[in-house]
Amino acid sequence: MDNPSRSERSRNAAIKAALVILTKDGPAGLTFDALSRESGISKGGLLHQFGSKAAILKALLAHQQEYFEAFGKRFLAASGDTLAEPTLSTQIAVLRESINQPNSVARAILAALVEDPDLLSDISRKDQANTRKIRSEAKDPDIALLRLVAAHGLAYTTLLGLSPLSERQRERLFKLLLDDSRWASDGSSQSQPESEPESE
Amino acid sequence: MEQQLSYFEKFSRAYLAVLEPADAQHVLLAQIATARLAMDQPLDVTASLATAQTHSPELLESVREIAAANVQRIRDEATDPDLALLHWQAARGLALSALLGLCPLSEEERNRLFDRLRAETQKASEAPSGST
Repeated sequence: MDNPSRSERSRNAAIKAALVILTKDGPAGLTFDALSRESGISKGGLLHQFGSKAAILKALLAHQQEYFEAFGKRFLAASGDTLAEPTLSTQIAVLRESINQPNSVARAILAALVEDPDLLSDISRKDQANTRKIRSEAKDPDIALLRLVAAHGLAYTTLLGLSPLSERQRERLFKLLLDDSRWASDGSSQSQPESEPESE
Repeated sequence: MEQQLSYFEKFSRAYLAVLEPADAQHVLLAQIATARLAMDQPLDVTASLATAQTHSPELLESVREIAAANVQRIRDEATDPDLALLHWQAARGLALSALLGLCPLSEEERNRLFDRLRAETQKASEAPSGST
């Protein structure tokens, strides 16, 4: 029976199940048998829908990407006119948002990297296009890129379980990265530290 | 992964030992240099992280403990602790994204940004407190 909404429902159920398996057993545990057990969908149905493990990961990444692109568009629509460097601010906001879904993003990316780094080529192309836009919008392109890679650092280390910073510290640093007024027009970075003491 | 951590810790200590007395923010400068070194190593970070996340979470705990000690020292040395932490995060972001193959920048750009990061850190060290 050709039923798109049913097909979509089973696809979403398979994606959710794949995330559970990746969290529990890592990339090596993601097999069609395991996915069938976790999702309750027959192995034959999963093979028909995805065909290969790489296709499951591709669907997982596409699912994440759709979410973050929609988030970025909403962010831009809400504040685009007020932003000096809209692409940079949107990318920083998206990276901040990615931390709110720690397991799913990190597991999906790590699994894709282990399985086949080429799965990330779409994401890489978009990242490169965004980076070109960030440079073209910036008065000081290198400072803009340093703000971007600092956001990468905050997001990646958190998602991969490597960050020693508290949620409050991370949120304050993201706020600082998003605040155009804190970055001087002469290209130098400046910050007005909050007076509260911070202990780890 | 343990071997890699030990190697970078040794490099960081050796780098700290040869910094000029006039250089402020020693720990941050050493961390930036260590991240730059790590970026160029042929490390299989992906497999190490995937294994550690699933089978050896205690390894990630030790990474966080070492990083927490560095964060405290970086904050203690800085006139602007938040800016210092952002410089540290930028160095980690550059190294980690390059090692994972996710960096949208060229090698030349990454090296230029590491140079700028070092220069910005030194400039922040020279500025009076609150006016960096």
